[in-house]
Amino acid sequence: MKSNGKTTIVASIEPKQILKELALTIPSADLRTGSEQNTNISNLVGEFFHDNKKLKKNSISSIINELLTNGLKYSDSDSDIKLNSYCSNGTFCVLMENVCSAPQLNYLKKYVNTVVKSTKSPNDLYIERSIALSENNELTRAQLGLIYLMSNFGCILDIKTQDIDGSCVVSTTVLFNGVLE
Amino acid sequence: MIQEYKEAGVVILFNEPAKTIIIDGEMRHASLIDFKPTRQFLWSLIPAIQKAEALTIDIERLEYLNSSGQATINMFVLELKRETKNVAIKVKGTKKYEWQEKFLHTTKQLWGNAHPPMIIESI
Repeated sequence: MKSNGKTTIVASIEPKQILKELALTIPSADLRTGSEQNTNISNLVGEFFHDNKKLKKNSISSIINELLTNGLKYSDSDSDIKLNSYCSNGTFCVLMENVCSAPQLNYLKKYVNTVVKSTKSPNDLYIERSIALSENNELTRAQLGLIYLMSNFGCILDIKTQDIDGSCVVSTTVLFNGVLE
Repeated sequence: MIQEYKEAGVVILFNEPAKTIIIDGEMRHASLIDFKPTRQFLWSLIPAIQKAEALTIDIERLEYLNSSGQATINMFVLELKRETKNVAIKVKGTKKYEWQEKFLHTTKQLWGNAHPPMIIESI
């Protein structure tokens, strides 16, 4: 599961099926050099899926940027992050896969349980978390990324983990229909 | 007097006579720690804001604001709520960037019933 250090991009467009697809493999080491690489990749995906109707470059780029930031936080340093995005009939779907260590996985599971599986609305979670950050003057982990995707963009999230050849692979699926909540 | 904070991708201007903070560009650092210099600049403005009757936070030309950036701005707004009395706060955004509508709405929610009420403007 180790990275070969190269970013790869595979794109396809099928006009008859209104289907666009973009697959990227990004060495996590590239993203750790600063926010510039993340911005470049996010904007590239945003441009690719921008359709002048429901899916705007700004929203797609924001979603990808946040997803990659989150993926990087839970990725081994020498692994790749795989990003498969497609758009069908105005719905944008992205599947991100990243490899993480056992301590990172435990942390992620706790986070997912308090956010994705919460019965509270994303907006309430966002307000609660923002107030807690301010009151506790927390400057370490914002833990707002997944809430931001659900609250700001109305994204539907699904996060699964599986053991592949002794590595823990985290699969995050995000659906965005272009209509902001 | 105009104070300026600049770093890759973002410029923040505090125009004290006009009682306006303008944030331009993009705020996309990966973590709250990376926003520490931005935070220090914003917090340094609070004494001047306390003496003002009004403040406009203008994000009309802020194209991107990720979750850590939103957390930073939200913490600043909540700090203003605690540290200012009788300062009328207005947050001005644009419909051009879709995320701003939701952000303006949640910013007003964070301000809550504090007096004077926060004014939101989206053009």
